[in-house]
Amino acid sequence: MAEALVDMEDARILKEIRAGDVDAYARLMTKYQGRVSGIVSGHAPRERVAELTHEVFVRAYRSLAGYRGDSPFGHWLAKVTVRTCHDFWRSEYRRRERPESDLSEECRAFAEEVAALETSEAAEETVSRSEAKELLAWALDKLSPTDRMVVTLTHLEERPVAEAAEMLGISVPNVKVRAFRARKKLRDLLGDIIGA
Amino acid sequence: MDGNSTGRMERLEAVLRAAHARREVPSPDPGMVFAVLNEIKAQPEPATNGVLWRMAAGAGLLAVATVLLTLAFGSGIEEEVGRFLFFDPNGQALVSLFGV
Repeated sequence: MAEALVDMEDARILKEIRAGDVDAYARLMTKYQGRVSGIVSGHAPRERVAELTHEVFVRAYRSLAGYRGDSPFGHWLAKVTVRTCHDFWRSEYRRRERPESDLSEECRAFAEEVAALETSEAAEETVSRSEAKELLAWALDKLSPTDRMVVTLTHLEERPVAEAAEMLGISVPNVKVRAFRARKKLRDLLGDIIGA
Repeated sequence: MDGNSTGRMERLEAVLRAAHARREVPSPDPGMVFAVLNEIKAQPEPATNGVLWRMAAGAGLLAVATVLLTLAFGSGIEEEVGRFLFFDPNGQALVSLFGV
């Protein structure tokens, strides 16, 4: 039954690629480009999305031998995408000098304002303001590369722990521990801003 | 953290989740497909095999080094070698070693 999970069109294209037709890969890229870009944009800065999407497809092509067809190609590609983003943050954290970035006064005021609202629904309506994005980027930047990936998958995207573990290629207990600790750190950071 | 603080925190977390959910996704770059194909064609053979061979060779060397170290320093062979070299009046060890 596992074979039935694989899209027939994808299976046909993969067969052509394995037979040596590299150009057939263009059809898979065209089909999945939007989905891969969407995942990448959830983990990486906007200005790096195109470059990382490119890298995902190159990496996926070179790992095609490892795709056994026991899950849909899109799922496998999503795993490659998440792991590419994880590697991106690991190399980025190693490479860049990371001065402790301060949150702007406007953003601190925004956080106070949101925390003082009546309900979470009312808070969500403020999301179009640029301070919301700044606050999110600032908070994630305070976490380690793996923790930021775990928090994004489990907390922001509310994916099950097992799914996050599979996507990142780490154990379920490891994801559970990291998710708990990273969320606590996130809450401590936010608490410092709003004085909770 | 009291109930009031928890509520304030939940509202902030709700904003973070919403900011993530409503992130902007850049429109697909039509040139990317060709760029990827060009890169793949420029280096069609993945370097995986080479990497695997190097990893296997490294592991093999490490195993040999471990065995040699154990033999040299864990079994008393260094004492035997020293005894043969320095307390062998007829030089039999050297004769044996060099096949003279």
